[in-house]
Amino acid sequence: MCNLKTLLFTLLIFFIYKNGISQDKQSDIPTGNYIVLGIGNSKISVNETINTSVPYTGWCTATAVEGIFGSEKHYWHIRNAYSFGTITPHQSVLPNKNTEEAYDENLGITPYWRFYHNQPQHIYLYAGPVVNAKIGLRFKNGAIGNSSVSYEGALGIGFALKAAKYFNISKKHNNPFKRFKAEATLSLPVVSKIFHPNYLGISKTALTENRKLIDWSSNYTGYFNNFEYGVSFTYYLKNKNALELAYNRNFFGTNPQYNPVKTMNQSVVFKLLFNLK
Amino acid sequence: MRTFSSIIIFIIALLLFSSCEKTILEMPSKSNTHVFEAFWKGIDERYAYFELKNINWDSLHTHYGDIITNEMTDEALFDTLSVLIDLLHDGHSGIKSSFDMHKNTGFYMCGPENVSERLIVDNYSKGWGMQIGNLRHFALCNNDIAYIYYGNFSDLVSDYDIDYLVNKYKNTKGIIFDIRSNYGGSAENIFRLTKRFAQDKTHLYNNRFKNGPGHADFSDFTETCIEPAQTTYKGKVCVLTNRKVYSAASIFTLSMKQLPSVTIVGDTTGGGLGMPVGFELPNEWQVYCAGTQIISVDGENLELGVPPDVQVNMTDDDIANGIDTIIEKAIEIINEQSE
Repeated sequence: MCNLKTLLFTLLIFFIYKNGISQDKQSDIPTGNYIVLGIGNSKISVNETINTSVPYTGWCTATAVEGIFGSEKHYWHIRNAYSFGTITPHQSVLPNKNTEEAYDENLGITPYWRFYHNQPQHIYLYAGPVVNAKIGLRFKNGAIGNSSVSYEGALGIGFALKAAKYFNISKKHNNPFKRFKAEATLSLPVVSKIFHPNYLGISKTALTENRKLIDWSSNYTGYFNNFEYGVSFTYYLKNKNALELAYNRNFFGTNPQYNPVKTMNQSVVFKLLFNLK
Repeated sequence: MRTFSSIIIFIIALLLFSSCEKTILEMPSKSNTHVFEAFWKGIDERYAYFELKNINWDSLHTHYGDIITNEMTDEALFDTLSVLIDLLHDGHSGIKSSFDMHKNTGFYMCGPENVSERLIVDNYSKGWGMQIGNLRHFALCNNDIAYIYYGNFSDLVSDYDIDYLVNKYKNTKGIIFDIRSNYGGSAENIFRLTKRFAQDKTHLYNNRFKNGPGHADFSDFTETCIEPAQTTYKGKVCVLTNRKVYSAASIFTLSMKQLPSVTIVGDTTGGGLGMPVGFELPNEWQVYCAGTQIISVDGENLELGVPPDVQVNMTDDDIANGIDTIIEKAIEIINEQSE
């Protein structure tokens, strides 16, 4: 399943790259096609009722794989953020804390169009539709029987906004090519298909031969459930590769008839941007 | 520049003043009375057998709610909640804290032991026998009958293991499949084993889940069926049971009971067909209880035990003479049915 997902994701990036918009040769800001790999920390916080009675939180490992393809005027941003780690009850003082293994997967595909720019100031504003798929999965360790898995997932469409400012720090050489970028992003899926555990948190197929971990039939259509924003700071090297430090915050809430869930994932990720020429 | 600055200020304001995390990390009260209420409500809304066991959970709230005080020690609170667990009379119920764990083991004491590993080793396998994966096995009665022991459904049985045994003993008259004192484990093993003894598609049982907080809130029944495996055993099969056959092992017994070539021999199982589901209390103690129901194809609720087709208890005289009464009965049944 994981291999299939990786393959499809790679094919998607390749397809968009091959069909990408040619680089703007005239631009004095760094544009083009990039593959981005990142690693860092994320803090996952969860408030749910199926397996837990207190909120759980903890520092986890965060990874990012992204693709950026296009020009100054229009580009695609494919972003896959994956976090995993162990979370424990918030403010727990017990010597043997309860634990959950937490996994958080967030995929977003956005074609951005520039709708405002200030050339002298090198400020660019972009907007575009976003297709987002997200799933949070947790395995509770302990004596709680068959309901030890909890999850929430969403497949949604909405809009995304991005503001970017390109600049140079040193003005000594008055280099027209800008080396630094500060960026702020907002992503808001408006309509989503929300997947959630059923009342007991056990898949309906648990007592059949073809048992499934997740009961996809337990879902509803929700609005504005998955809100994400972030800021990043990028430094472009001479060879057009780049280094980036990004902070991202994702808030996700479900509201089914039973067992509503609220989760937050805050991540700080250091990224390497490889220019594909 | 002013536009860009405005956006940056907006983003920073979002970061600084967002109350999302505060709402997520809201802590419930951990007082004893709140813990008791969460415990009572958790079981009230999840447990699937109040009606079958005629338990008045409301009256227990009234009685025990008066006993609980915020001044009680953690140990005293734990002991009180453990008493309530015991009153469910359900092996699929328990409570765990950082200093203690209490399980309801009532099903242990409902009948004679009806198994002696030492007796089998001394007088039947004459040693350890053979073992593939988690299945111990040996041949009996001049290789006419195979004996397989499976002691724990938590131990995986692979397709390879069971296919090996089906092939090895394919020419025998019958197999004695002994699951006595098997407390259960993974449901996955039920299907992997049962389909090796089925010759046709077979309806094993019906199951339903709690789907709301009311005591009568259940989903519709779902039929559970199996298709035969590619390699199946064609001879007679006796499944040996005692009261310590519980949970997934009881479901296996019920499933095998539906197959025409299978006879259940021994004592009624301990039951425990409902799957345990769990929750956590505000003080982080963990509780579990049965939240699903299984009924037989005939519509019987066998939560309290799956009865054998042939009831046999081990007798003291037989034990003294090194005879396993239940194995002997199974041998007799296989020989009779094979004539």
